[in-house]
This record gives sequence, structure tokens and C-alpha cells, in this order.
Amino acid sequence: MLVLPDDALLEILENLDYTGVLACQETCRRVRRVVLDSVSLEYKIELGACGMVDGTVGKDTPNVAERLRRLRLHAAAWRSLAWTECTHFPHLRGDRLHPSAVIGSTILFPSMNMRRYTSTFLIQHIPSMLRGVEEKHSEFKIEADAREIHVDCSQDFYAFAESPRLFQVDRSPPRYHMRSISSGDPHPVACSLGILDLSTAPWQHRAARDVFADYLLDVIFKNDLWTYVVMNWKTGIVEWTMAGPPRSVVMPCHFLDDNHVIFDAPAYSDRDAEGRRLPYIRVYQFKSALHTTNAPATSSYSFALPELAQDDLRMSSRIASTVTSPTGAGYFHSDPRDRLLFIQSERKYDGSASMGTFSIDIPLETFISYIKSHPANGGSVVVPWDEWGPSGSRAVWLGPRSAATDGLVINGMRRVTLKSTAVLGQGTVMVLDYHPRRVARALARQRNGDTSDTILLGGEIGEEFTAEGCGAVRTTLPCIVTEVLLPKEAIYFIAAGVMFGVWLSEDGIVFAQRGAGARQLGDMWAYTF
Amino acid sequence: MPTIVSVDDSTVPGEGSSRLLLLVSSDNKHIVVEEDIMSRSRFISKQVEGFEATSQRHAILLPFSSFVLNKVIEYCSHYRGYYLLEDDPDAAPPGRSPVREWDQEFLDVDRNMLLRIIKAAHYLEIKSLVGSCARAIADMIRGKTTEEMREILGVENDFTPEEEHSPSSKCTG
Repeated sequence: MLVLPDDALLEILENLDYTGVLACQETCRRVRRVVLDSVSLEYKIELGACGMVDGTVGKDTPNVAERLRRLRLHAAAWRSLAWTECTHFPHLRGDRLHPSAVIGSTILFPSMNMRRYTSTFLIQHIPSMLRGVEEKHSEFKIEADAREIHVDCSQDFYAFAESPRLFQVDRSPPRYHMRSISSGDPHPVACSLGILDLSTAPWQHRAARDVFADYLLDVIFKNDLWTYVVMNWKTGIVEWTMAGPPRSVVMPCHFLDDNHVIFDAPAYSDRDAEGRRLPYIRVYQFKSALHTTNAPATSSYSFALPELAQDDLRMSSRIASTVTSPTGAGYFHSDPRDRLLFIQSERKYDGSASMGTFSIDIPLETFISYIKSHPANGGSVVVPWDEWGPSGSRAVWLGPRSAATDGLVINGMRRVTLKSTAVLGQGTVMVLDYHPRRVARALARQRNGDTSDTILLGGEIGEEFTAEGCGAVRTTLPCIVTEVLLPKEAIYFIAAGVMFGVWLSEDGIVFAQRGAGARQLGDMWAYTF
Repeated sequence: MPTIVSVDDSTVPGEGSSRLLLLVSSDNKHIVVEEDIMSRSRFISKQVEGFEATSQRHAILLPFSSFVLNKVIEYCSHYRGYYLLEDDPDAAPPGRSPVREWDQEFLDVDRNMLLRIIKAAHYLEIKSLVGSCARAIADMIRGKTTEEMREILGVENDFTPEEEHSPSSKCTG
């Protein structure tokens, strides 16, 4: 039998991803020993289990052993919520609105005073021990009325559309600008020096919606119809357009991945014979240059939601950020594919008079794998809830709106719920981690006798959701639950009701206090590790 | 270490800048190759340095068949005169080796041959070839079950039943 030398085995293992290494080390003792002896493979396994991938390795990037050390500290900090760092940002006071983008260690605040085609944005980098990033902030000015601005996962690319002044009936086509945050110049790989000109008038631009990988998603008013457009910002090619229904409101929409766009449910809701809403989440597949599949140009999928979601359904899907160090020498990306679709609905629960909230958490992988295995062949497919829902998702009753849903934030597969309390000086934060790899690790730890994690397979916040017609909803989506007392500095303004906002990034949580005006930002605190 | 056999100087005419080397495979085939071609191999280079020191040139015995050796020589001939970062002993250790189209075609061989080539490349210390082979083998085992991986890598399950199911301590973090 041919025996490969250890070095050659190591080379092979280096080419595998983290799951491949784990599978391979089960083949024989020698392979397992090679895996256990290698720091770089250990790092790869650790990184994969954290849902991250390495970024661009520059000359300032620490060595593998140091990266492994930081990663372990970071993973442990999220489990124990040891608030290792608290940074106070008093200088942010002023006419700041809610952030336009929270991505990685970057938060982008627009200014309230946007007039005469000039917009000012403040970029706040929160400190991160994991990434070795210091706190810093800078401002940039855009010579255009840019209300909607999008930062992509590299944290160095932002895009905005130069739109006509509000209420101006100008049918001039929108021009998109793609720039680099660090230099302020047109982004080096963007098409035509960072300006994408849609010259096929009459199009009146309204709002950019999303940016993911090479694509920009936008909603444009054309021929008295809302038209949804997917553009490749590197090549300048419009990859997909869809004329939406003539409605007065624009449907919220996001990229599911670089091949699918997802629309909010209620706008597409059909009604049955009795006039009740039949809610769907609709997903469109567009022909993407990044995908080489022979999929037809456009297919659509309607994912039916459980009946209980009929009323006033609100949906938001959050995209885990690929996080790089803003200094350029990036490492520790989080995997942009690890995402959670979060749907929240408010309604009268179970016949009782009180209004309540429930949520459905769905790993986006569930969607995408369903779509991949059921090609619609250019047509349209309706997927009943029973078929797609129960296998990978569950609805959870969150209780009355005002309680548990205050300060609910999502980033990637993590969800943080702040529990407000009447007693000043006490408050808790609950972190639910749905990341399949992190859950698998927690389960492995539990098997080894470590009981530091709470792993829930069935129950969650409040009671189990068992409404009629939704028995199938009671499925398992395992998650790790961590609940801790908040640091003193943070609870004051939560309990006192002076909270402006709370934002979650891969590296920690940021709280902001309300400023002088109700819509203005006050002091900000970041708890990061 | 291969046995070093003294050979008559006439079989290895050392003229000009590129002298000739005599390589002997395990199936006793004698292959004459220009020294220049084989300079990519650290092992051969070290041998040649030895020749210079002792002013004696020998045949180099190699522990693999001529079939494999010819394949390696084909690789070295293709990249003759090329600078490949992985083969530069002074360069910083590179990460994963880059994808080279020619290598992919060159390594489009069966599993056994691929394992033989990587072993030979490892013996001859040709890092770029080891890297390309490793990539090709990794492509083969990616997404396979543990049992299929064993077959591809040619290893046997030598775990005790307890060991097999115990998650290795380091990886449960």
C-alpha cells in the first residue's frame, strides 16, 4: 500500500475546507495526528466553526498562532458575554439619524441636514480586539442628494444614486456612484470610473435597496410603474429588471444571494374567497454572471407562510457581513452566506384580545437549497408552508410587543434581544445563536460534560407556538441561548427609556442614547471584544 | 537515501552550461536528463552540489518507477527556466499554491498515479508539484464520505472503536 509522507498529507489537507478536514481526520490515526499537530489546520477548523473565513492576508496580518488566539478569545466572549471593552463615543452628538449601514466594525450615520445636493456622512469604526482595529471616525461629503447609501461587505465600497431633489418631477435617469471609503475616490474595480449611467430615460430614481457581491438592487419609477433592477456594478450591465405591480408603496426587497432576490410578503399577498390574506414570501431568480448554472433567466418561487402570519406581517432579512479590517490588511471575514431570515408579525394571538408578536427564523440555506432542488424552469412555483417550513424553521411566540421585542437586533445567525425592566439598574440581554456550526460545537461540548451552554432544540423565549393549523410549526431549529446581565452603563438608558438604538455587529453590541431631539443621536457606547 | 553508484565519466558528458545527469529508476531504467531541467528539485540540486564538492559524478538512484520519473521530468521540462515562487527556497512560505491550467491537464491521471507523483515530488523536493498534486487530490476527496476518502488516500481504518467516535479533543473548542 502506498504511504504518503506527512508533509504531503498536510498539503492535501490545506487545500480542503474546514468540513473536509474534519471528515478527513476520521479516516485513520495518522491523518488525525497530522491534523492535530498542525496549527494552521487547527486555525482553519476554528475559523470555520465560527462561521468565518480569512480575509486578504497583508504584511501587517498577525501570524496564524496569534489569529487563532484572538479567534478563541472572541468565540469565548460571545458565549460568556464577558464585556471586555466599553468604548464611549460622546463626540457623536448632533444631528445624526439612525445609521444607514452597520456592517462589520463600521457604522455609517447620515446627517439630518441634507440640502442643496450635499449629503454628509459620518463613518464610525468601532474598536475590535479580534480584528485589531482601533476606534476612529471620519466624515465624507457627497455632492448629491443621497439618502440611501449602501456599504458592501468589504467595508470599503459604498454606492449611492444621485437622485433628483425631492418632489422634483424630473425624468432624468439616475446615476450611480461607487466609491471607496478609504480613499473617497471612485472604486477601483467599479465600471466606468465609478459611475453607472442608466441613460434609458424616462426613469425616475427613488431608492437603492441592497448591495451584495457584484450586484446592486434598486427600485426605479419607469412608465408609471415601479421597476426592480439588478445591476452589476463592476461591469455596468443591467442583469435583471422586473416591472412591479402598480402600487403606491415600494416593496422591501433584498438579495438572498448572488442569484436570488427576495420580496416582502404582504405586498404580494393574495386573498382567498373570504377575503383573508394568503401571505407569501416571493423569491425571484435572476440570471447571474457569477453563476454558471443553466438556470432559466427568471424563475419565481412563492413560499407560503403559516396562516397565523396573515395580519400585518413585517419582514426583515439581515445579511451577515463579510468583515475586513478597515485598515486594508484584512483578515477574519465572516461568511456572507451564513444568514438568517427573520420574519416578525404582530396580531391578536390565539383569540385573546392582546396584540402580540411572533417571529419565524429561517436559515437562508433552507430557501436556497429548496430552490436549487426544485427548478421552476422559467415558471413560477408555489411552495406550501408544510413542505418547506417545518424542516428548517419555526415560529416563536415572543409575547406582547412592548416586552421582549424591544431592542431586537440581528446580525448573521445571531439574534440579540434586550429585556427592558422597570427596575433601574437591572437588565438582561439574550443572545440566540442559530449558526449550525456553532450549535454543533456547543452540542459536542455538552457531550463532553461542559454545561456552560444552554442549547434549545424546541422551546425558546416565551411559550411554544402552537396555533391551530400550524401544528407542523413545532419543529426544531437548534440554537445556543446565552443570557447575561447588561453592564451598568448600558442599562441606564434602556430602563430610563432614553434609548436611541442598539446595533449588533460581529464583534459586539453598540448602544446609543437619545440626544436633544427625539430623532437625534446622543452618546454612544460600544461593548466589543 | 539512494545508493550512489560511481559511473564512468563518458556516460555523463558534462559539456557546456547544462550538464547531463543519469537517473536510475526503481525498475532499473537509466534516464539521462539535463541538469538544468532537474534544478527545480532541491534533492537533485543537493546531489549536484555534492558532486561539485567531491568532483565525482554519479548516477542518482531513485525509489520510484521510470513511468513516474518520466512524468516528473515532463513537468520539470515544461517549467524549465520558469520562476515558480513555491520552489524558491529564499521566498517567504507561500499559502496555497496558485492554480495553473497546464498542471491541471498534466495531472489528469488516475488516483494511483497521482499519489505516486506526489510521493515522488515530495522525495525530490519539488514544492510546486507537491502543491499542484495536493490540490488535485483535495479536489478528489472534497465532499466524499470518510470511507471514500480512505479509499482515495489509500489508508486503512486503524481506530479502536472508542477512538473512532470520540471527537478529537482539540476540535471541540
